[in-house]
Amino acid sequence: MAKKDFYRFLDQPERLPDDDRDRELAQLMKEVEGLESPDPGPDYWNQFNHRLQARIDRLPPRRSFRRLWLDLPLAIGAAAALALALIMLEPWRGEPPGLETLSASELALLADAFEPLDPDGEPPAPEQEESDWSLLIELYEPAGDDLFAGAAWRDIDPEAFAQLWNREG
Amino acid sequence: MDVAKSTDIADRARDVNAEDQALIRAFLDGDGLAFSRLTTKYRKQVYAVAYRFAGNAEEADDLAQETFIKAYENLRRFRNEASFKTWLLRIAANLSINMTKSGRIAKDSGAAPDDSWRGESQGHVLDGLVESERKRALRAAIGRLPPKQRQTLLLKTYEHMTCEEVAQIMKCSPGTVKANLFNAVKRLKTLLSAGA
Repeated sequence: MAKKDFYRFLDQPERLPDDDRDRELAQLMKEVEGLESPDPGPDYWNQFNHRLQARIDRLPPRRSFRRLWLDLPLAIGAAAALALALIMLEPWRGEPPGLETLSASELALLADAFEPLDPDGEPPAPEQEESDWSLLIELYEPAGDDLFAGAAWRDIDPEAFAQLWNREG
Repeated sequence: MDVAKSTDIADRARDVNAEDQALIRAFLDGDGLAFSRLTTKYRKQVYAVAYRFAGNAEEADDLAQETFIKAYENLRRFRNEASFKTWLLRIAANLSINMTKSGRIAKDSGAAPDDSWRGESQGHVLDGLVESERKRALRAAIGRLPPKQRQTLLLKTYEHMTCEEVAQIMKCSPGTVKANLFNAVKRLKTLLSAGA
């Protein structure tokens, strides 16, 4: 089988190769040429463009290059403005000065400021809160009387309490 | 005579390209009808090639529609390096390979009952049967070729395309087209002898 003969046939299909085996290959190609593609008919072609258009309409919208080109300066401007705003709002970031840069008087002031209130390091006692609460209650109590005291509070008559409330305000 | 004929063909090709370019420009400028005109102009050729690749009407339709959708989506990238027709057929060829790989097109398309024949006498009927059987076997054998060889063979044997035209569609050299064709036909012969 001579490739050259077959190649020549490909360029000049009207000239069949001399060699029998090459001619057989050429005939086979002609047979493939004869495989027809049947026309599907006018109804098919009438619908072809409509079906295609329907499929195109269902495609997700694509941003056109021209639109992108127009939007580009806007996008760059917005990014620049954002970057500028971030730079302006950014708190100054730097290493705090070390203790070695402070004078003796400044160190003493710092030591006073951070001196623990309780030398044992225990959390402050809750008495402060309780005392504040008792002070608040006292403000609403008639002098000397304790309305909220134990049995007296439980045994109180609602009507008597209402009268007392109206009277005393 | 031959020179005059080839000059005439070249002139006609130039006219076709100019017309296509005008339609493409119109489409890119927003004229939706321009794409419809391009579709109408090339749909039969695309379908015929799609049918050769797929081997049956249903898959050919799928492939043809998909080809035009891809063209619609990518028309902005068309650079006039080849004619619009060549570009469309290249899309169809690539899609056909992808669809075969993904299973959307059956590999062995020879079983499709696509041959219609009519015989008036019993002799003709028998001839038709034999011919039909041969074509079925041929399609089946073509379906078994490696994708590049199959595409090259089916394109070269479509409307007497030249090796240069096929090379443009397949994005390779004419020498590669010839080598692919030689190997394809040799293999085809072996497959048919083996009763593929």
